[in-house]
Amino acid sequence: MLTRLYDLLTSWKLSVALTLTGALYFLFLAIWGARSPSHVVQTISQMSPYILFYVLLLLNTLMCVLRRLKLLTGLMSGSLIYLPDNIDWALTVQELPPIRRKPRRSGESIYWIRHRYASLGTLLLHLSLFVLAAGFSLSHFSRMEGSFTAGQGQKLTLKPGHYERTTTPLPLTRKLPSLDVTLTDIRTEFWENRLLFTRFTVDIDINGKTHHAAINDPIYLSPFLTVRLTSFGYAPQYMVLLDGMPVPLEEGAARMNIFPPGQRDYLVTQHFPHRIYLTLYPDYVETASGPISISMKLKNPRFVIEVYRGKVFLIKKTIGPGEAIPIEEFIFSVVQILPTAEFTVVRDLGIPFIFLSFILSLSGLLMRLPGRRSELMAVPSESGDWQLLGKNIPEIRT
Amino acid sequence: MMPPAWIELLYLITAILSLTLALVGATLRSIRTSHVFGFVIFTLVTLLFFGRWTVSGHFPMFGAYESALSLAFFGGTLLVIAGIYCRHPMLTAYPVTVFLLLIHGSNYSSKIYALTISERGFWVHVHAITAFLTFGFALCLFTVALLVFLKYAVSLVSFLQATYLFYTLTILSGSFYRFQLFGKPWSFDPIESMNLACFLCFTTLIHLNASRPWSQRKLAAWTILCVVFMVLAYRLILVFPAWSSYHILDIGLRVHLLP
Repeated sequence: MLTRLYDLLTSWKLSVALTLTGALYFLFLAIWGARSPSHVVQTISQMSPYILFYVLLLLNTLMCVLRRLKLLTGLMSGSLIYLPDNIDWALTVQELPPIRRKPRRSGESIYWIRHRYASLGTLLLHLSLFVLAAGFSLSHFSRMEGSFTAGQGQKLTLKPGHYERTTTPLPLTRKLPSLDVTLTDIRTEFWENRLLFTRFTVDIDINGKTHHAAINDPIYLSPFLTVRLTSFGYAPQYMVLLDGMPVPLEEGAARMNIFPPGQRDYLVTQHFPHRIYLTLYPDYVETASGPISISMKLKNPRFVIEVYRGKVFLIKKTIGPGEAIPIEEFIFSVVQILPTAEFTVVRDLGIPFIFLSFILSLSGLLMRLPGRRSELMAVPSESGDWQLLGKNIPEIRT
Repeated sequence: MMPPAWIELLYLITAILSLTLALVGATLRSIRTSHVFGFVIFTLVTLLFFGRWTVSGHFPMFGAYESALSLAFFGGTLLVIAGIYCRHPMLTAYPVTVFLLLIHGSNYSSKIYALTISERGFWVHVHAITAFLTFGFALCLFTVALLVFLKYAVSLVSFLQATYLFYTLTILSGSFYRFQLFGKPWSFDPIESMNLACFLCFTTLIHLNASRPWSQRKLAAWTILCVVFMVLAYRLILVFPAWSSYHILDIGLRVHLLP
């Protein structure tokens, strides 16, 4: 029974059955993905049929590699394996044709071996699956993310508990690192007047070192730690003043969800219970149907401010940077508009292994591409001619 | 911004001429004539591709309309190179392929937009170009399979291996770019899953042929099936809803969003 199990696990028929099953599984997942939210698809992809498929595929691959290891390593030999007995064709020539590779000698015969390391490619390709599996497993037990928002020119010290949002800690990663961050510059460009970013890059100092990041160019602090640029926004820098007071009662920058233009968010000051709703129009124009922003650039920025105390509506006014709005006992002023960027810190121990497996599999495929091991042998005959013998190589035309 | 009228006209002429020449070639039942017609169509496709590049100011590879052009151009380029390399009439089926691609592309907007931030960068260009090259190799594979049925002495296995290599490179470069953009190398996005399914079909085919070598005709038949599945995997992206896949631009915001 053990022999039968071994034969089954090492059989190419099981490999074929598994790859076909995998194709069907992922086809179902694709159809599901077109109808269900992403998190549902992610959950389905982690269900037991898929895990069983991965385990069986890895087991079958391992058993097949072990069973054929001697054969595959033998094919890398520098000595002839197939010739002179196992030939595809034989040809008699008076003179040897020009063959670029340097020949080796075996007695009076000379021979050439091509694509000797093709079987190493096969090994690398299949072993890369294990590195890939190790990478994804490590990722599953270690991936943690945390996000923070910074305004242009702002300095932040992020401690593990100070991230705005974090994912659940996992067995291999209990916390995110501490970072000293200074966001020195944010650069954005839009196409024509549309909400279409053609450029969104930042310069940021992290732990004393300056980095440049784009939405598709994260910062690699280590092979396991990346900082991604994830979002853009605007933060109003505001002041709360009291009549007769020479200094502001309160000032700061508010993290608000007011980009793209037309989005409405609110803030509550530290000293008063009022809800102050803001809608930002970076390039404000008043139309018959209401205010709009004709571009994304801060050419003529205006805030439409609505103030509520509880459920009581108090005032609605449109102001720009540097202007103030009196609200009952205090004055609210927007000083300036700061561009902000949101970042996500990702700690994932599996990522380097996943990308290593990519390199291994591509190397394996490249080594396999030229073809299988081929051998060519030239044997001298008594009449002075040469007999050419070939295996896995097209017959040479002279 | 709408493209200039001459580009639209060239597109129309190429589509109509490709259908016409495909029908003429089929009527004459001449492989060589169809191959020559293929060269004519490839010349027009090349003009169209570079014309679009010039007027749009960027490599024409994103969006349904531009990707149809790129698939036609890269497909033709690889067919020409393969034809020179193996000295067979590889452009035989090219006119009908171009017609189908251009007709499909014409269902979508030809407006010119600037590339968004997620369409700019070295790795996304690597991913897109390898995807187009893979499609080109798949066209070569399809043509070689047809030539096998027409009793030409061609090697299917070497084209199969090249297609497999580039398909692997497409998937891996896409995975790397996804990590760059969203911080995770895989998400089971429907396009990812569909192409992984197709990739596993090719894997099955290669394993079957390696374990118990098939006749060329049998291999050719199953290869054609796999290539058809690949074409579906490539173009079915366009029928998925925008929210389901980050491969599809969110038209409202013109950014690639994580669904």
